[in-house]
Amino acid sequence: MMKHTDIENKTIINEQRLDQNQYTLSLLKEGSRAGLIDRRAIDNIQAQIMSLLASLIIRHTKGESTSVKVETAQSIFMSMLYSIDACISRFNNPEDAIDFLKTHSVEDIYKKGFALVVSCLDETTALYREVKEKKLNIPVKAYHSTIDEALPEFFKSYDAVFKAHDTMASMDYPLLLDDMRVKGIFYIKQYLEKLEIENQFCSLFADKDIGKLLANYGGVYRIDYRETLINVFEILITNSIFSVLCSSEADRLNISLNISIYKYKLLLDKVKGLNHCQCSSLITKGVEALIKDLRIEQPKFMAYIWNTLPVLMSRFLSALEHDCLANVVILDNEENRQYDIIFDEGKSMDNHSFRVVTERIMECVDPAEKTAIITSSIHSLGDFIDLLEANCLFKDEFSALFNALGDIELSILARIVFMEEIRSEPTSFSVRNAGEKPAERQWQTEYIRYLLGLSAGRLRSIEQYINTSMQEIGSLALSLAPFNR
Amino acid sequence: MMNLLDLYHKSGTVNIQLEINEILETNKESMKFGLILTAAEAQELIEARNRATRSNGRVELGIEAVKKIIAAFCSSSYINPDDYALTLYELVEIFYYMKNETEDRVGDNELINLMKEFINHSCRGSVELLKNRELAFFADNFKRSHQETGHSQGDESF
Repeated sequence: MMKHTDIENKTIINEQRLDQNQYTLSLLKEGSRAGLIDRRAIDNIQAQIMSLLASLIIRHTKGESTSVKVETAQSIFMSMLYSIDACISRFNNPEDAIDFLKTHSVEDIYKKGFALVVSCLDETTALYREVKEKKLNIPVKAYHSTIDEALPEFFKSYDAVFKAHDTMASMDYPLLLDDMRVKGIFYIKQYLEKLEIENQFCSLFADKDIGKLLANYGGVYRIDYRETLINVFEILITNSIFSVLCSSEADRLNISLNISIYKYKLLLDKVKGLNHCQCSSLITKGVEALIKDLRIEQPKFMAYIWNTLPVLMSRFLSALEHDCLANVVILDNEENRQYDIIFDEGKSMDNHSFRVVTERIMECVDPAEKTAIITSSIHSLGDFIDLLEANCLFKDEFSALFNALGDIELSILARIVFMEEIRSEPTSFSVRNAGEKPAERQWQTEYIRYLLGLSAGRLRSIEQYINTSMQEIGSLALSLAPFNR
Repeated sequence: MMNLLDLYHKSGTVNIQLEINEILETNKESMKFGLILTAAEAQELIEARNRATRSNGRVELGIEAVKKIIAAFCSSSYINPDDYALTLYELVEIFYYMKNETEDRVGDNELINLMKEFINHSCRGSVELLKNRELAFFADNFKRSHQETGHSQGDESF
């Protein structure tokens, strides 16, 4: 005998089985399973869907052709279902949606859904204008190309009739909370809504403070932040939460994005000895205080920040647990600056010229002569590293070359060889400690051997350069690209 | 994914019978030229249409294009009663092949008229010459002229 719960299970739609991107079709399937719609009604709906598809295909060919490529038919089919889904997915209760499908013609449902898609397109276009108008003044390339190029291109090519489901946009700028499951105009709308909120948050801080934080971020991660796909909001909210946590009530009147070493130490004292739960509670309090101090009152704005917390929290807790909070909190490098180095990456030579130089070096047997060729021909760090990796120098020739370099140049090579070590000990890096690790490449092994053979005084001088703020040599990040390839 | 599009490839028995009847209706006109299709040939013609659309990766909404081909070619003095059905099967295959070759930029009527012109003139009834010479040349020129004007496939489609 069937139990009461079995009957209940059979007649209730299991929402887990509904596919957001094939909503109506999955609802019909699930409705059939639950006994809410019979085979005949489904066949009828299916026949209507096919009839509507046929009329859309004819519309697409402007009546000039009764056949289309399968891909074209599929695209029109998906576009049609997108509009039908727009109407059917409005119902909070799937059972109501099934009733609607049973009592309305597919064409009627399609028209209603299509109107929703068009209205969403209008709202999204208006929202885009607002976002563009209030664009942040940040030197992040993907941010500007997304707003100035990718989105206008999307609006230009979006076709609500035949390609409504298509997102066709190369929006490179990542959001902190992006829902990639959504397609078409509904995706673009939610993208812009979230971007608007993220922008709103970022605009609560001065441009120069944002710029400084981003430059510090680039320094910590050895990247050219202008060219990298970073989410600016994430960097800002992370530092602002920790800034609140390490500031006094009075300091919090004006929340700073920049966290000094001193403040960072206060922060470490604050979290010292706290367990997972206590840390979590402390961070939550930080977010509460941040919302209050920044006077964030709009419910949508507030909700977005709270929604980001689980994402951020897991990173924070993991960093605290592994004692590497310095990888999450971006410290203000200006606090410990001792030297100002303005690094010019230099102009790289073309492939042909580079080949000519390497051939000249290969032909030469005298280390001093090889060094002379290199110092007179190579004018960029990128080329210099490529040359070190071009197998045209041997044992003693490396030390002859390194001997020709000054402390600053040697410190720049150290930033490449000891990238990880410098990052984990940004202020107290020591060549002797780091030099124990095995190097990946021959030139690096030779370089470490050369450094360890230098006098203590010389080494100290190089280390001082290494420990110097990266901010002033921001373009070094660019020069690392060829090395990292 | 539920592929409802498959329905177009596997018409039910009722639909096939309706299509056969529609094709047999064309006998009224072709009879004037001594050309007649049997029910079996009409069914084979539908199957030839299905094979052609499938092998050319196309979705066909109905029997209209086949009927238009029959209407256009039945008056040709080059079509013999003995190989009428066979010629139609080949013409249907060529038609869908050319729809792809011309990137869906040539409408059904225009393409059928073009084929008819070639058959009645330069090809003198040879389906082989139609496909391998005239239409191959036409398709090459068509693609070249569209490449030169910078149009890519689908530009005009959507």
